[in-house]
Amino acid sequence: MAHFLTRTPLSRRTFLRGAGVALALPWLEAMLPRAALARGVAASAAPLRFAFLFAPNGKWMNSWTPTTEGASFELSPTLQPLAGVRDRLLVLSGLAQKNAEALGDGPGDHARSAACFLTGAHPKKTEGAEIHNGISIDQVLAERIGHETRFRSLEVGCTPPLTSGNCDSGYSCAYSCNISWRSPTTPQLKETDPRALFERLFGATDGLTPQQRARRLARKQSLLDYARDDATRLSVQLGTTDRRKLDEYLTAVREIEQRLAKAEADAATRPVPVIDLPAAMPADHGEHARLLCDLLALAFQADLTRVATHMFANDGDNRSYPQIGAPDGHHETSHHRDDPIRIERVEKIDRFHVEQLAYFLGKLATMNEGDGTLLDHSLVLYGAGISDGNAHNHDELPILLAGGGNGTVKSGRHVRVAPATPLCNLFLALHDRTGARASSFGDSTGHLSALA
Amino acid sequence: MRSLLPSLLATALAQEPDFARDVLPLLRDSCLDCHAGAEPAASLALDGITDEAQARASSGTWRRVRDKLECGEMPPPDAPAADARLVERAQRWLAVRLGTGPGSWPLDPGRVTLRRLSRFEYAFSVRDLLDLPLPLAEKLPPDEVGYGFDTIGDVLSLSPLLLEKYAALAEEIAAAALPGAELRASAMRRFEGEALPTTLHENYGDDFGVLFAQGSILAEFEVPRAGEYLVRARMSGDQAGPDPCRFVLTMKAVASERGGTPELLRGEVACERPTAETHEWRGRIEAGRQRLDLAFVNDYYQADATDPGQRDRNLLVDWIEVEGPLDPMPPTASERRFYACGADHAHTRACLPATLKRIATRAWRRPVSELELARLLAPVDAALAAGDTLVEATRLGLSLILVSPNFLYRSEIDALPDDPSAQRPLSAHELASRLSYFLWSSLPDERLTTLAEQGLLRERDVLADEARRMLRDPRAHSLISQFAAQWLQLRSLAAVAPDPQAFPDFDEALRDAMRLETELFVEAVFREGRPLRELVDADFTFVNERLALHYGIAGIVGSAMQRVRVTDRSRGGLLGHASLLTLTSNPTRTSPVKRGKFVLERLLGTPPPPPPPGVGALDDTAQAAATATLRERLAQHRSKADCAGCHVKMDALGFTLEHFGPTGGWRDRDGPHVIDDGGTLPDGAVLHGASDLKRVVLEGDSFTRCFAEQLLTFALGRGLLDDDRRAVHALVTGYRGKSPSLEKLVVDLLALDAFLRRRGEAPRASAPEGR
Repeated sequence: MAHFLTRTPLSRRTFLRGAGVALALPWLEAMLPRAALARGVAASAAPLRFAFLFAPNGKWMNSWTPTTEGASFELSPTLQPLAGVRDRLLVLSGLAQKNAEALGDGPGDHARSAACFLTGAHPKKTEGAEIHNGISIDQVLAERIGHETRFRSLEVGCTPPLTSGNCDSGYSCAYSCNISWRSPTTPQLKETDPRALFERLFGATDGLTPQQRARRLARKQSLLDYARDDATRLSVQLGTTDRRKLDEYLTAVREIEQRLAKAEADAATRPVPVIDLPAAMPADHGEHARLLCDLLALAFQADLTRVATHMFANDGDNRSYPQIGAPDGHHETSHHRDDPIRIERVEKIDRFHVEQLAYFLGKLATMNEGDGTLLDHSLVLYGAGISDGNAHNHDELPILLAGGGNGTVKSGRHVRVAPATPLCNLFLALHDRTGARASSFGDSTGHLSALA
Repeated sequence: MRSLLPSLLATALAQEPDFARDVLPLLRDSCLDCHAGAEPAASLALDGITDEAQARASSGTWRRVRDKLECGEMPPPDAPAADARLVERAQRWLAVRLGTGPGSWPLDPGRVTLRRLSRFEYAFSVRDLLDLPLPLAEKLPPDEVGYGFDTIGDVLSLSPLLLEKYAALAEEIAAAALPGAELRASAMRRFEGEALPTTLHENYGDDFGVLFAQGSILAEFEVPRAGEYLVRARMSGDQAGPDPCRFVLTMKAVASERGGTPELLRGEVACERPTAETHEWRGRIEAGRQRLDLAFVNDYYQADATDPGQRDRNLLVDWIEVEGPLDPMPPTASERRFYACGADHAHTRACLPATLKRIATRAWRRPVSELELARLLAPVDAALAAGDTLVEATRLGLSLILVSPNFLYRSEIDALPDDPSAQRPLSAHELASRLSYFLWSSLPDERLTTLAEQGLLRERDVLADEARRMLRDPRAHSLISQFAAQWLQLRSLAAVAPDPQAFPDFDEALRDAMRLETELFVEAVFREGRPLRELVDADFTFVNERLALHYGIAGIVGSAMQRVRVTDRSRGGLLGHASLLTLTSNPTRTSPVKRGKFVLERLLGTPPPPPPPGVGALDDTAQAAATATLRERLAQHRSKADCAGCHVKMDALGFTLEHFGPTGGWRDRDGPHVIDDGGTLPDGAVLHGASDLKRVVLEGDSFTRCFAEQLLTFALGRGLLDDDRRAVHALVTGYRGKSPSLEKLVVDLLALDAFLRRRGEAPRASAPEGR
């Protein structure tokens, strides 16, 4: 134990519970991985983090879109909660995800909205058999930079997948409940339980001795060896589709193995913050969303991952927000039919979601790292896959990019791009910032140049 | 090939159905004007089909044609009537080809994709494998849903996150199933008196805990397992007055709020400090956190006593010890189930092969080869060599079995997996698995496994007898918790949130009672062999006091659900259940549309197409509600041509339930408006109230067919093919309007090729790479 404690001078109790409780952060610098410290972390050397935050059912665009453009833009009513980080925002108007449109497949815009949001792909309409979408940009980024951290990527969200019923007009729930897709057939399951997420990130600290820990690791390793061997043997006996199903298992084994290896490598250097989390799922939606934001911020800060997605809710979500004066279901309300009362409620919900975003950005902005803050070293994309919830259109999407991207983004602006510019052009521009250049993604037509 | 006498040949040929002769004339005469070309009416193209081979290519088309002809919907009223003789001949052809008798097209048994266990199947399988009822389903994320169920192989996926949970759970399960030395060892704990809390305001202790007035000293400790323990207390006293110090030792489980505090021991402490004496109690203590309470019960204080040594009596506690468990621990249920060499847990390495082989055989639902066994034993032996105890190494073996894809996935191995023409009957073990996951959502029990090993299970009578046995088993409750709950979308009830201002009386107790009513009701229909039509129309239900109050049923007391006769004809049956009525409502009002849709989709198997994009929802503002009834507002909505087609039927069905409010209570008014429970169907028929709706639902075979299709989807774990629907149609037609019991239907479904056979996979149409 002593061995462990000497290396964790700052593993003191930190309380995350409750809505606006800020993290006490004196252990911040100590949380930097030893390797990073050895490098001498400077802003330019800080790793770049990517987060994608998703809100369902579109926005009331008249209140979302700033009326003025350029660096002197004024925050719109919906964006008011972001006043504290206005200068770190790049609001992008005019982007589109045209593969979320019907294209002959009829209704199902909510399923397509989520499925297409980060993939730019047109999901195959099916309730079950032969699910097919595209690979999402976060997973492409994870493929490129995920090997640097213990977690290739993190996927979180407030709403578990629906457990009964067909989700949207003949589309499997896999579509409306997942924005992150590892492969065209495999969505990345998201974690909805803050406590489980915490334990996954930092492990349960059960005061094991190094020997005990080594034995536990050996046990895990033999479990994984065996699992991989078993799956490989089974796989050769299967048909095409079955084999693809089992590939998910093999991929998972490989990923956990890599993570274990990294965990072993830095178990001694990284302290585990002791955090009180509610034992059950938070009942309050806002608290739930913010707790997950806290944990994502912590994971970024401890450099446990550099890629994350967060779904505030699944698309088509029909929860009500009576606490902010929107007593009917969100989806139902979003079909506002230009009724002023409904529009006002949609605005309230939109603002509520933006408040959660503001919380996350504010958190990143208070986390110092090297000579900057985590927000300086991040690119946070926020938006929805539907523009107006009433019309279900997928052009003119509400999209904003926050963070400095290690000095690669000129923020504090509202930029209107050419109508129907693919959102995937922005994704390519984000990908460029990893130092590698990809030629195309989804339905991209080029690299969005508006960032710098 | 049929061999026919030459004299009969001519007649036989004349009777052999022939598309060109029997159907084509009708198509040309009455159908092709609309159902042809690039954009055929109702997306139904009938042109370009001229012979049997082309007709065979799509049996789904002909099911639609048959249904439309059967109910006389086609040709439409504004077109010239069809020639009755042509219709009759076509219908004869359709009946033969789409039937299951001689001349019918062979049925495609289909192919089920490798199925991962759902989280419930996982939990039930572990429960039955190890006799270990852990709450495992809650520890796994919800599963993806397809075709309304979470048993669909194509949809169920496995992410790294999930595999991590499986790995962690496997270790957790192994530890719980095979308790190790830490539970079995006896331990001694000593609590020093001066360190213990007391009920007095302070413990003045130095070497002793001091009870200077009447009060108690408290010691809490964890009991790892129930058993015999020794509790000892070493005490001394400051003696004064006529009597020695007296004490009472009691103990109580910390978690238990109620019940007395049993007394362990009472006695006297006569010695004077610093000497001390030890008192002890030996007896059974239950597992969990316990609190010992050692009370001083005869305080004495005379401040003015002349002898200073006679002024104050105090009880002093040196220490309290708890030792145990002293008795050997009997084998747990899991251990008895687990070890192959007798119930005694004192197993040996020599017993491991037999044990692991037995468990793997049941967990993987098939025989285990010697090679597989050797591969299981290798890491176990490696762990032993590295210093693990036998129990720890055995746990590893069990973890391996549980994390193996052979457990997590239900595989059916083909010799020619990628040849669609390679059909085969399932192996006996595959069949046992399909049967047990269908009826129990769990793995086959020993009897099924034995029957599979003996090759008997594939005999039709044996299979049917087993199904009957299994339906009577308590494990068949999964047909309620897994099948019915998903069929009726009952799981969504947990998330429904009626507006608290409009429905202040809606609470968790009511929500629970609603769910229980439906579960108990469906279970009664299933278990009592009642005709399935009673699901829609019955004269009984289950209520407790809370739900009875909600329904306006008098004379029910208590929170336990009780079976009651239903005298109100509109209540009996699922359509009168508050659960379904609530989950088909919006937070602030009823939704005749959702209710109508539920009836069409879940009870009649004819889901309406989804609404076109951009259509407005209903105006729900308070302002709108004040000026027009919901019915008037829906009528406005229907008046849009886009909406009318589907809404006429949905709304008509939904309106009949308008007397049931958004939480299922009875109402005569909706705000200022008097309830009108009438609805007009597209054919002009007028319905009033729930009893008319029930009549419509039970007309013909639709409900039975829909139920059978839902059950088959759940059982197979895949979406139904046209041929499956054809088989179900033929099956249900065979009931001739007599509603079957669940048992009858299950036994009949088990005889379908879709259940008994499988084929290789057809090559996929070239996958769209991000169109």
